[in-house]
Amino acid sequence: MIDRPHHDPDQPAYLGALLRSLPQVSPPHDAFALVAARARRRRMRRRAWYIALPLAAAASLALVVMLVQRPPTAGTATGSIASAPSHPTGHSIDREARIAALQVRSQRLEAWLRQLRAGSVMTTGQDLATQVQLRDQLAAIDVQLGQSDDASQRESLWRQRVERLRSLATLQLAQGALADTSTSAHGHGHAANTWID
Amino acid sequence: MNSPSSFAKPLPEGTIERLKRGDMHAFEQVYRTFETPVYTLALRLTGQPDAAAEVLQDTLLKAFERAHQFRGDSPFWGWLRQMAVNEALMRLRRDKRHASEGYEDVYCDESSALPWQRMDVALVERALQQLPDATRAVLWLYHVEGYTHVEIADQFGRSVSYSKSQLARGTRRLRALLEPAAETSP
Repeated sequence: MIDRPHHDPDQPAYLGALLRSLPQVSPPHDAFALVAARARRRRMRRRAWYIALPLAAAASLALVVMLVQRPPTAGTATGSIASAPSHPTGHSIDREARIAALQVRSQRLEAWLRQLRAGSVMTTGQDLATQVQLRDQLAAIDVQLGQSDDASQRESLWRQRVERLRSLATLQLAQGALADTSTSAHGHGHAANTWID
Repeated sequence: MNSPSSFAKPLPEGTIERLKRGDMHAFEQVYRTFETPVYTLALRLTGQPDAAAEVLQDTLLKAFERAHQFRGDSPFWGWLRQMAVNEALMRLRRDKRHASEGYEDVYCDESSALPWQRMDVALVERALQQLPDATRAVLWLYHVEGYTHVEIADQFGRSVSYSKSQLARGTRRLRALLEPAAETSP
């Protein structure tokens, strides 16, 4: 309820008293349930991060350890990535050509992924978990490639490797596109502390 | 400022600590305690019921998520009010200018007011609504929330003279808008 101040508009206190006497306004509807749901969702997302980040770190560490412990094998990729095509060893030339093509594709995909990672964006816990899973699978494939002398098996492994890299690239591209959409939607065009008249 | 801020409300003991631990009951307690002052401030600053409702939600959500940053060297309500002011001003910057919407749809707790007093509320609110966003916000922060010109200038990322000139301009315009009513009121 308004508590009318003395009518003397020339007094500086008049206006202040008038404004302070305006009633409090209740929100038109109770939004607590909505806010609580948003708070819970965000908390779950943060928890996913807390779980996914150590997992990613552990997977990377395991990969490094595996690579350090495993002596390089001629004719296969080193863990970090596909080496140059290996020499044919008397098996079918066609198969060796296919393997060489897969190795080149693998190298290109890795180079592309490195570029994507350079401009990396925030990711959701679920996407990060998928990334970790894919990288684990890549590490396992690299180990098998290092141990396999069978050309048919190697071809299959290289094919799997290219597929995993493609999935990783698709995932990363989708995240980049989402981040771009989000940035433009929130319109970060102005400095946070600058008032625009 | 003589009258205490509408934000100056006590919370049951231990509420802040529980809020910092992510307790949803403590969050609800805080929400219920401050929803009206936050909404009122947001409505006065933005002039838009929808924007004010969003500011209310975003402010309380941030308070919940950042409760661990509250050090306790000033009252919790002051910390929360600052967050509400930031959110409302950010909203104003983002929206720049919005279509005018009357206050008629807004529910005011004035059931016990006399008829001429109710008319006064509507009149003052309409006059406020006619001011430019920045002017209205400066006027409200200065007169009602007790901010100094230095604090207002800081909030707006502008100079102290900007705050003073907005206040002078707002005072003149509001006075002009209200004067005819002041002359005819009982």
